[in-house]
Amino acid sequence: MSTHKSRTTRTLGAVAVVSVALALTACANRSDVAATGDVFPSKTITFLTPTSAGGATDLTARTLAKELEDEFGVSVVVENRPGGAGSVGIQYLAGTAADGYTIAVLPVEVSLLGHQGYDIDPADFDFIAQANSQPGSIAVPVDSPFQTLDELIVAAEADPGSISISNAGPGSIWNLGATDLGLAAGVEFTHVPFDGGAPAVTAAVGGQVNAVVAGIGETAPAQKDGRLRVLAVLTDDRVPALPDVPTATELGFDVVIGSWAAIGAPAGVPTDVVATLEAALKNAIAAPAYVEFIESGGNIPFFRSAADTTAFVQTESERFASLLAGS
Amino acid sequence: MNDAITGFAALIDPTIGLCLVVGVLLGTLVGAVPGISATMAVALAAGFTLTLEPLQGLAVLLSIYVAAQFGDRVPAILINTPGTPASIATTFDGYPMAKAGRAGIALTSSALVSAVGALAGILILIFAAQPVAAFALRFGPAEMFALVVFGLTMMVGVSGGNVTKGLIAGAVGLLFGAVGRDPITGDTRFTFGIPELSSGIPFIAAIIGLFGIAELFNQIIESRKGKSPKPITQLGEWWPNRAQRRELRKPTAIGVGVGLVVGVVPAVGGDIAGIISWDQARRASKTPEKFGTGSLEGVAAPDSASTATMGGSVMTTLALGVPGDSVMAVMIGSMVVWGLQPGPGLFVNHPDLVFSLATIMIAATILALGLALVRMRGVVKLLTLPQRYLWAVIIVFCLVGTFAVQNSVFDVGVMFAFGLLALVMKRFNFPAGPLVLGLILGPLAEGNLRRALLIDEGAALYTSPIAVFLLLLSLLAVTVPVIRSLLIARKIRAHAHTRTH
Amino acid sequence: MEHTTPEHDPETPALMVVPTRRSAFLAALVVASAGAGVIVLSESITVSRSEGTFGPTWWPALMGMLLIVGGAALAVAAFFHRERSGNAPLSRHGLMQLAIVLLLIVGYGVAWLYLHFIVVTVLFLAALVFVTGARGPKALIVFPIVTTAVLYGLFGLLLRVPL
Repeated sequence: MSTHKSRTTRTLGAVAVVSVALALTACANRSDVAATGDVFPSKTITFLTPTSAGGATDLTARTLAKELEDEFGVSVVVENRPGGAGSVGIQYLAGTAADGYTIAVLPVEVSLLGHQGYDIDPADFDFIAQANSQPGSIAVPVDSPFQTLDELIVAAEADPGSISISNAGPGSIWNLGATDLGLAAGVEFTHVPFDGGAPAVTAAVGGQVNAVVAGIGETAPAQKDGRLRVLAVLTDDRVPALPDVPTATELGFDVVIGSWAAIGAPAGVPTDVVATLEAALKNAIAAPAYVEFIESGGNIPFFRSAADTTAFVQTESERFASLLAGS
Repeated sequence: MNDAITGFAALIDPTIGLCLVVGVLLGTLVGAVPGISATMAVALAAGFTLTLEPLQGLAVLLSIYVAAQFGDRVPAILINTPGTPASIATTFDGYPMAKAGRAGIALTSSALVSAVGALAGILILIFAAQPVAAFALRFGPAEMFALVVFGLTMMVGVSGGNVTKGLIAGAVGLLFGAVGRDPITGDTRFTFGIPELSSGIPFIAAIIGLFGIAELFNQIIESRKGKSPKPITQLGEWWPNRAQRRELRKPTAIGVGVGLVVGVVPAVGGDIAGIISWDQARRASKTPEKFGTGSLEGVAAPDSASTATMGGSVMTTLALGVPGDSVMAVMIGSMVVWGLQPGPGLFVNHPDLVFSLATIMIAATILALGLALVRMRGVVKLLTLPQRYLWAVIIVFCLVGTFAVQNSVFDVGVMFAFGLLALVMKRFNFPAGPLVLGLILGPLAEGNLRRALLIDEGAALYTSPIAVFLLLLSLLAVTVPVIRSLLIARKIRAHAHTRTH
Repeated sequence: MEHTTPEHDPETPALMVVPTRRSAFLAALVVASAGAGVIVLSESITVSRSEGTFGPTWWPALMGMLLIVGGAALAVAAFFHRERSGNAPLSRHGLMQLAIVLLLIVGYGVAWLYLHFIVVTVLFLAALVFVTGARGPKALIVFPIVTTAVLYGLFGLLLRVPL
């Protein structure tokens, strides 16, 4: 019995030794070229995305990561932290070290979720750049009797609640877009939230609802195929993907709303590091591969500087707070 | 026909063959590892394939998609753990077969019927894409709700004999499905302030816990000191004999039928198709009592159904631009980048592409089938490990696999919590099947019912022909077995009566 | 967990276990009180905007009611007939082992926060097979290291999961 026991102890001891050795090599690998100096960046950058792999936001991160790798000459590893409508990943970012080695795609939710019971505040982040904008639009089924936005609004005025508008989900940016339009026109719509943008658009294509508010990335191809008729885009100026479609503002309804993606880091990153990242991102966002990727989705590649993005996110957040209160 | 030739000719390129092989190998591997689903593998691969030519990239992605459906059957049959949600129903009979020493024939038959299902689905994709897509568009909230109600009637079938306990488990599943944000108002329900729960209970973590971990825990508490039960070394025959092949026919036909319909409907996939077809095959079987205890028919039906959904899903995706399931949702992203905008326009602008895709999928199916048949004996060696090693391997693979889904430790906790829940349920004879069904269908049922009510106060529920048909079908599904058993009881009584005279 | 079956000779084939009436009533009680609990909890859901009868609370409340009815049905059924169970009997040894395995899993989760994946996984695997009865260098060293290597290769390197 005692020999048996001592053999076990020996084996366990050996296991411990081997494991420690393994761990040391693993750690050595992990920290890469371990801080060779003060020059940023000198080791692997983690690029978080609060979404699952494969979606538009994830691909945005992956495309930009590739450009940043070329720019910096270090690895930029994309890490997915999905869940809780994006809140899990955004909160996770807030808890990481503010050294510039952890950055993230911060989608429009960063300015929305804080007003919906999540512990998220844009002030917890240093925004480095805005990477794109995804303008909103309102569309009706192609066989709909409504030819113009005015006709839709008149119908909603005549019988409040009779016009149903699908959107991507309760409290989503497109739900707010429809709310905003209702407020601007002074009419009452019936909002029908779906589980994501694609089913919301399908409901309009199939004629189950009267209209849909969604990103032009989803409505523009449907208009080209003859499945939907886009009545208006919710932007300041007409968009290249739909040059013949008027803006809501042109039609007299002052509604400008859309989704966007910013790049950010936890608050407190040294200013020179932010500047380095900002400059690199400016190039990455102008890179042909990225521009092509964003435009293929019908959206607009768009760079905004760190300072302007910070101000922009703050304004959006305040605006969304009042819209959410009004919905 | 010209399009078919162009579409096929576009594939005569050795690099595409290479892409197919890589995709099939990857797909089989990730399918067999619990946690990593086809969706995740396709999503990760999409990061790499974007730089390839569209056809090469599609060859990788589609062959992962197809091959994962072959790989995921292996853990479902051998260790009661669905490799991906599509093989949930495979565990119902596959695992009992393996325990009874018939793992070999279960795996072979599963691979064969999976191939049959996949090929049938692809044929539909080629020949009926546009008319069927128009049908899919008619599935609004009311029709979806009616379809889900039909799915919910399967709860009785998967209760394993005790209907009361089955329905209780189902209600618990529906409740778990309600966790998270309300589908209409966005108010949080039962989240207890945990942000992870606001998007609902992580589904893959839950099913791995309910099936794999619960079975493992049960084996542990039934184990006896010093007597480790013998591992399953008896694998039985490999190739189904003529009688067995004949036995496979009917459930496979049912599976293919169910899979095609379910596959066409947007947003529902192989998991639901598998469960529905398992129950339909049980009803149609001459030996329904064997279902759930190791029936070969019970393996054939769900496996052919879940692969048959693929053709339908791809078709809905291409023809409507609406993702047919979660894998297709990811693929749409890549296709858009390649300039292949899915939607009716695709058939006008790139008619040959449909044939290329179908050819890729057929080739991937054949490759995956070949791989499945060849590597089977090797994989099964895993079972000859003494049980304690198998336990350790299952625990760490389920643990890391579940973590990898969302890089979330919380999900791992959910997996073990559901494992313990299902263990207690098992000890008290509550079936796990209805709980899973409730978890899948609950959000769809509630969300679509409330959407239908918002749109027209639910009028479509009794004016839409599809909805009315499905609701009537559900009513029949619940009432017919009751009436039939009453009739049989009366017949037996009458018989006994005449005999006493 | 209720178990009143006597220890069986492990050599005999797994015997059917007949749950006692007491445990059947216990199950019924648990189900019904869970239903009641759900109804109470669903009352406390904060509803941001009213939507008539079919708001966020009606669906969970309906399920809660179903559970209460189901619990009552179970109790009635337990009164009239005993159910046969297909489960093999559980053993005290097995329960102890499960408890230890669960503790190890929790310990693994905690250790993972502080140490590298490879270290904790090798130790965890060695500990798992040790408590379930494995001895010898092959079981305690080779097996954990090989398994960890496969895991790390597949997830850490191939799939780039941040382990």
